[in-house]
Amino acid sequence: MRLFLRQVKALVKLSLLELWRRNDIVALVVLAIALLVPLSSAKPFGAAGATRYMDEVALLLIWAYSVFISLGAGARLFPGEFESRTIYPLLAKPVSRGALVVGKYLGAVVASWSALTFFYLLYALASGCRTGVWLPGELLQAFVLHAAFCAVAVATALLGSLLLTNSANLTLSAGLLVSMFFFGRRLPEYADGLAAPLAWLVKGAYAVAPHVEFFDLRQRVLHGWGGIEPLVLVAALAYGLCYSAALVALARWALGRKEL
Amino acid sequence: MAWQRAIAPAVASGLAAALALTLGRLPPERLPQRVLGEDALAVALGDARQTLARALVHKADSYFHGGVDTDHACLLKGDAHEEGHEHGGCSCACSGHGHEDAHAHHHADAPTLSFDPWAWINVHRAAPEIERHLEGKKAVELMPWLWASLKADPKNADTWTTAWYIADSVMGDKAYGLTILDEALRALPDNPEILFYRGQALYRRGQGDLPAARAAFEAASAALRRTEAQRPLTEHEHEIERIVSDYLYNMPSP
Repeated sequence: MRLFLRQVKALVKLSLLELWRRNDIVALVVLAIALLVPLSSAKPFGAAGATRYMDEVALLLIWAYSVFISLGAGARLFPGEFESRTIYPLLAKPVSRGALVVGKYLGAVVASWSALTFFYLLYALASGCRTGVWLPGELLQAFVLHAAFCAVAVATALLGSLLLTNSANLTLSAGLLVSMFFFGRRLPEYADGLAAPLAWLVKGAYAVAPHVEFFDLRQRVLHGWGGIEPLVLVAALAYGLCYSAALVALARWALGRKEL
Repeated sequence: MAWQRAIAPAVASGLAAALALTLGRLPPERLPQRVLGEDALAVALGDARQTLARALVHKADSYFHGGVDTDHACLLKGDAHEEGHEHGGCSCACSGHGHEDAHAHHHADAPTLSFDPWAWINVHRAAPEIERHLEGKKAVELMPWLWASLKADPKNADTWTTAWYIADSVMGDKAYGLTILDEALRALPDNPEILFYRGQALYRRGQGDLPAARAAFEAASAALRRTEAQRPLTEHEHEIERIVSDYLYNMPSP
């Protein structure tokens, strides 16, 4: 067990270093500044004082960036190792395939969380300077649930990377997560209006698809609705944990079946 | 030889430039895409601008209801300023006529679906207990969305009058409201509805700039007559005509 933990720790450290070395985050922050600075100077019909739209755009950008970073981190874990054939010395260390999948997955998740923390700190700083309210409860809840989303997104891309080509994996994973994020909640309503076989197909998809919309608290943060009940928060986190664990287990199975 | 290798790209570039110049001289109806308006958004989005503009008004409506997406969407339907705001104010089901400012928005109101295993998390995550209107100066938060909507579709008179209603009645800033109407008249100079609301804004229940109000009402009346010469007036335009006539009849002559 101690050996397993040491191996996982080393893999986590490697993933973290890789993300911050790639300068992706710097590019994203520059992009955000390039978008938000002109937006902040806008005065609709000559009136100043509106700021909520800026918060909305900033939070949407954080979500878009987290999708980009999490999927990228998850999708890069194995294809590079296969291409450069470094997977062989890695497995000969000896590191078991299970430890390799879990270690790499946790590394990518921690790397995504570090980027997410950075973005939320920037948001909290900008928002706190303007309103004088530092880290309201709903923002902390939003961050925790967003972190759960990152775990699900990394696991989705990790599983896809072992079953599909890199471009197909990124396209399908991004399509699935973004569709569920925006339309997931409306699927039962949509299914109710369909004929029987198609309706059951949509309902089945609704039951098993990743419900990443659970992790979106933007409206609560923006409009000051207050946080969600602790029980709901725990339920959503447990859902994220179970879903990620299932995807990682499938990834372990897929790697086990792969002929190396 | 270097000059021989340069011939093919030079000929191709020359042909492309000649074709671009020729296509540029074609009348708009013979071009592949006919864009009304010449600004960047018109070129980029074409007719999709109206859909985008509507979505942005929907966003403003959601802000108006404290972030809740409502079925009645009073800003989208133009109910907020219907019949002239001096007579009523926001007539949407949830706010106007002196009812309470905030009211319970029950989870039970959501349609019951035959199959939704995740409803429990979603309902408690997304639906607020209370729906609050943005009132007073806070309603300025709606303006960026209305402004963006009008950038996408500047010919939408409903959105202009909604923006004016929010500034004038919700925010209570009459001067800001007039600024919006002046901007609206630059986009739609002969729109009777905007001229009518401008007259109302200037009239201010008989306490405002009465000569200017009268001029605006007369301009609205003239615009309605011009419209009627081209096509039959709608029910709403007839209503405006009636109210304008009332104002002109009751106002002192200059």
